[in-house]
Amino acid sequence: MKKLKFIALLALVALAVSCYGDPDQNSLSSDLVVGTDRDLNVDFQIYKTYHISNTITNIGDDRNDTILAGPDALIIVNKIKENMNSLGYTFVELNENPDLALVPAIIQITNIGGACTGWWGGYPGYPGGGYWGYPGYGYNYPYCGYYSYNTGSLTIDMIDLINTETTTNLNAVWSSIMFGLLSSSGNTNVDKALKAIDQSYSQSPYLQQN
Amino acid sequence: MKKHLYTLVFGLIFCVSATGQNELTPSPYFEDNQFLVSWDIAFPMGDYLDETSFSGFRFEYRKFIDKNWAWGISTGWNSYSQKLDQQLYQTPDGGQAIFTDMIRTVFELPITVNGYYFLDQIGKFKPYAGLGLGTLYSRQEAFFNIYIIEENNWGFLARPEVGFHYELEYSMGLQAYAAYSYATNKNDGLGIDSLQHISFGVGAYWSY
Repeated sequence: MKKLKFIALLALVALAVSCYGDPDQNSLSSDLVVGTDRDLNVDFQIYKTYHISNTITNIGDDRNDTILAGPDALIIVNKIKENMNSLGYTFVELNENPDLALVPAIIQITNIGGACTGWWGGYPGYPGGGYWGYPGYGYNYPYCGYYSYNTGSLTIDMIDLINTETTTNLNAVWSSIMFGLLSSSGNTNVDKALKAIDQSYSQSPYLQQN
Repeated sequence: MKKHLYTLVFGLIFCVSATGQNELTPSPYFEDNQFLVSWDIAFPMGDYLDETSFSGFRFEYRKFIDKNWAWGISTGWNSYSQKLDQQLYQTPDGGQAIFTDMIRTVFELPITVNGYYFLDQIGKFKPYAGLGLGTLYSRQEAFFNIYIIEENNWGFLARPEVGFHYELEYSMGLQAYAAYSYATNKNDGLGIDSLQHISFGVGAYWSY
């Protein structure tokens, strides 16, 4: 009888630990996911100067809400400038023929479009999925430029202005997409964005000027 | 009359007892049919995750052809889950990179037809070697931020194993085994070429 009880107990223990369910996603960081994409054919040493506007393209459900200006935009623009300057690039005004244009954009629309699959697939330990970007600036992405997202994204595109005469399109030689769950607190979202911008540059050491 | 009655009752009891005794007498072979339940602890191999699964189970039915050979069918499951801290994932050419943490999970459900060879019983132990062939249904998931990437797939499964039975009493006992499982399930997006694991199982069998 004791043996029977032992076996029954064994089965119960096994059943108990076998319960299967989704993992606890609360253990995941709330930081934005940061993806960067570079043009492998470009030598970034040829670029010395850049320009960035004090406004940010802001895309949301409200069609009139297309430009983010003022202090909120400046916080993000200044963080981009800070990173570019520390890499050795020089900020110049638009009429001074910059080598690069930095174009930030915020996207806060849910479920807009499809994704280009396989952008981050096909090699070990790397998740498959789509590339979150945004089309429609009048230039082509070097790889894949469409988006699929649920909550909010911040993108930064680095546009090559040196070779504009040899092509009819402007090329983004580097881009970063930062995306994830947005907080109801604007300050928290700004903090997330600033942290993500730093991460974008720190994971792109090839941007460093000698 | 009472004496005859006592004789009849005694005779009946003896008959029942004797019949019962016949049923409980061990045959020179195992009973033909066995049902087995095991707790399956699996150690995954490969790059996708390496966290041990303690949440596996295996159910088996076996039919003995003679005292050494048996065949059977089995199913069960294993589920793996692993949290990976924030880190940078890069394409081999360095063109693209992504920084995030994530939780990876794999669920496996094998269905196999098995063949076994049992050695002669040594004391209470009866060692065996077996091979299971069949299919593996699997679901792989990667959770990051609020997003999830998931894919379901089927593959061919081969599972050699060795183990033993330990007889607790007639028609019932414990079993333990070590098995290697190789399945051809692929998931290009998550970089999975195959699903492999080594598992150790402990459980019980009932013969009838």
